Amino acid sequence: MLFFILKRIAGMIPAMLAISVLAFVVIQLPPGDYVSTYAAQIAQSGERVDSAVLESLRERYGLGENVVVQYFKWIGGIARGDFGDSFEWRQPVTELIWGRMGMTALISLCTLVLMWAFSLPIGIYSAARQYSVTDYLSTAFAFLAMATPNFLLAIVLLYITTMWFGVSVGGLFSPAFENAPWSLAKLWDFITHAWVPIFVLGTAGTASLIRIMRANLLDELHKPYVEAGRAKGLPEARLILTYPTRVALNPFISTVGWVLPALISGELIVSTVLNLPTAGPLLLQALKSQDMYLAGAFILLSGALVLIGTLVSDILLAISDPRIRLS
Amino acid sequence: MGGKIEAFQGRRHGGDIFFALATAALAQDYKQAPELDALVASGDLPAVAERLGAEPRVIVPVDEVGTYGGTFRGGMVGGNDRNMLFTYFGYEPLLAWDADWSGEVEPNIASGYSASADSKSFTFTLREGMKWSDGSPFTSDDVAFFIEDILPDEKLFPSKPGWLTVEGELPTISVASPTEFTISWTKPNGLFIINAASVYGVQLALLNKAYCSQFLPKYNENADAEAKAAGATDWSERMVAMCGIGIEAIERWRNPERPTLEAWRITDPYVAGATRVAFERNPYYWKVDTAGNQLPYIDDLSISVNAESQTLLLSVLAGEIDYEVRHTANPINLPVLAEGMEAGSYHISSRESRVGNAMTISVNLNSQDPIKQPIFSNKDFRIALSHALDRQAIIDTLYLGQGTAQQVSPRQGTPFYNEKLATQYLAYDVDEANRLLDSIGLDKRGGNGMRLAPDGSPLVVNVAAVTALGAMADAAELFVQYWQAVGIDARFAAMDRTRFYEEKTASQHDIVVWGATSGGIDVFIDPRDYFPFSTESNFAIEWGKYYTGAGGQEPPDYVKEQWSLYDQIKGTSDPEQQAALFQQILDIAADQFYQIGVSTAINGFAVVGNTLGNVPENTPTGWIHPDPGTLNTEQFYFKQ
Repeated sequence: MLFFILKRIAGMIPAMLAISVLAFVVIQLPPGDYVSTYAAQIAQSGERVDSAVLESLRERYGLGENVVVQYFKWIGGIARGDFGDSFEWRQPVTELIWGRMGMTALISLCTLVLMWAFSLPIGIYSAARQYSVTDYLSTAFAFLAMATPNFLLAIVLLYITTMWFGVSVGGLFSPAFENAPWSLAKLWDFITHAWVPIFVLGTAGTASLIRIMRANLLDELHKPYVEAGRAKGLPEARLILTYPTRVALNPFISTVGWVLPALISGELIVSTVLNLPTAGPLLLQALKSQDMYLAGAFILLSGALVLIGTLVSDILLAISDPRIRLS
Repeated sequence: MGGKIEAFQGRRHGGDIFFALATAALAQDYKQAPELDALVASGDLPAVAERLGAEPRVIVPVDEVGTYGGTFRGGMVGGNDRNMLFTYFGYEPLLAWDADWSGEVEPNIASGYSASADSKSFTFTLREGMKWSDGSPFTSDDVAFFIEDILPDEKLFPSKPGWLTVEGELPTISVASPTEFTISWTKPNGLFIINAASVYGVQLALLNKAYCSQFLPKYNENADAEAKAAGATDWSERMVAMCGIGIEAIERWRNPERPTLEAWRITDPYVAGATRVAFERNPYYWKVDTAGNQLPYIDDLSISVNAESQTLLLSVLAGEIDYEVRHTANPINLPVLAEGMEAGSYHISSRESRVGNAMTISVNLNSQDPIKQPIFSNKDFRIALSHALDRQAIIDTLYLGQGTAQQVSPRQGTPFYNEKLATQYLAYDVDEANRLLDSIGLDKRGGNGMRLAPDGSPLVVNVAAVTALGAMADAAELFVQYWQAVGIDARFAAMDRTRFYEEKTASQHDIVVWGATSGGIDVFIDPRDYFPFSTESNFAIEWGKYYTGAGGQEPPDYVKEQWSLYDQIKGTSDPEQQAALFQQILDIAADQFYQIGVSTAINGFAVVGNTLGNVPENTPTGWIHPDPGTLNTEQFYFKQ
């Protein structure tokens, strides 16, 4: 088992390097650089900036240098734990990302847990009671929820709460708690606000997990070992939960690796719409303004998350199904 | 222009003129916000008269003497929006322009000034006993600290602000007393006072010497070591991080310990990851109202940091913003904002735009295409393009009929208005346009019916506009149709902002549509639309580069004549002479017909919460004259 994990981790290193090159290429692709975007932004709001100032900015940020040199400077810094400075915020990237990534992880985890908490029992129930009213209802919900884009749901929710109830649900805290240290009151404030993004982020995922669980379980339910168990007189609930459900969970576990990055990338648009203090809006803003070290750090971390997610699902699979480890 | 400051302050409001004597309120009559009473009683804060100094500035409230209290709610968007804070709460120059931007310069931090007859030296008088937000005295030394220690430093100021240099020469300062100093150059700087009253003038009294000098090796031999211990690469980085040297530096809104002269001091800084920036009252603020109440009226500021302007718009609609002029004040939002007025408990207040046109159409005179360059340089080509536009139809379509057909020119009613420049070639005359195009060798047509270049090759003209700025892209699409109607194969090129800037800075564009700038009092400060002045002069960027010394191409003599006239303007401080010289610049601009305009500028608007008092109506909007800072936000108050 340890060898298996080590082998997987060794494989991640070249993948990570490839991701870092890709991330750097992606953030270099658009024409211009941070300084030209900055100049354009300034000019748009009617403000003026000296062209001498722009040149000195370019020089300070080392934007005139060769791209390969820039890459090695960047990756060399990261190896030492220095992600560079954000041009836009004029702060070290490390000061920016961890808080935001933490909030993202918190929201994503809550969403993931709730998704599983709802989708597993519903999926199992609708497979066991195939073609019942409940099954049809959950199927209808699942198709509707999967077909609704998250950001649209977010916009509709925002519209309804603002226009009908006169309160905006943007953000994760009330103004009074935004800058306050954590406390019980702040936690409660968080809960009253966090249900919106969790609901928005979770619906489509829950719906698709319900469908996956239902289909997987239906494949198993008619297999001979289930029939045998039933013939032996096992109670129906115990029979389904103990054997076919465990097998049906396999494809579930192998997709854990994809759920993590999907939550974070789906979060990007939703949290921008809902104005959440998570990584999404900061990444989007960094990409728009070509704040390359900040954007690069986020892309790199998202890439790392895919790899970590895959590793986690590999390990989980190996634990739950020994056949996988051997092959 | 550059009006002499009298013993009183005048403010024009709604046609009436109010005057208030600077010494109207006696020292013992000064009142303070209730939240400060306890601090004074406990001895943590000196008495209000002591904090205000001997001659606080008296602000005449716009409508009435206000009441203390409340939290102002505003909104920012994204990570580069530090200038929202600057324009709202950071406009505290030595001298200030009045709210109407009539051209009068009022005393602000300085109580008065005098200029030498040759415009080479300027003597300022400061207010006796005025203090920084930490209670330390504000004196001439603080200004001298900036001029002598900060401005010349290559690390802190790698490129010097244009308005503080005369032909590359930095100013010198001589301090006569704690309240009197003289700034001078060896050559005249006739635009210094209007620049000092503009947004840039804030620079002179931004840094507290007592606090900021601790980061300079000159004053603290351990500065570099301390900087490194604090995680900075060297002392200059630490200095910028703690004091925020430039007026537009984001660091200005970072360090709660940095003393300031502004009405509110920051408590929750504008750092990455912040979702809310907060301020509290500066107990040492040096302004009072006519009844002797120390300003500001409003206790705290609470500014949300939004990911998107649409989120901010939603907050405005929900009545969660007290004043918004920066991100939602876009004509596209007007219908939805008008609809939400009652539910959101706000109203829409008009803001007069002072720019020279609704937009500029710039044909690239410095085109790098050997075939296009002579065509674009031909004035008749540009005249033909101008005649081909049905301006009234465009105004009706884009601006619901607001605005009058006009070329790019300073506004009517200012001393800089130039009749010829404003009104030439406005007629919608397709026949004339066709005749002119035929006459300049564009008389051959290709298979698609479009005109060919003189050498027989197809003449495709790209018209670029930035899609994010909706109105300009819409306009560009209309222009293209009109030009195609006279046989010019114009194509609309929607562009992302960055790409747009890349192309135009490299002079690779054919025609670009962009906003106009100065059209009022500010024409001297940024005359980019009237002669090649900078890389923002879209019609001749290479000549602009040549002027700023950044390479480029040498221009023809008429451009050089404009430059020399502009130098003469800087060499005098007589407003009439300056205006006369500027008219000569504009005459040349009219002869050359550099840019095509469409309509007089369309007015802007602000969203104002119904409970917010002392907000004047219909005042100008701008960057040089940054509103609402120019409206004196310290006298805004919440009605009971």
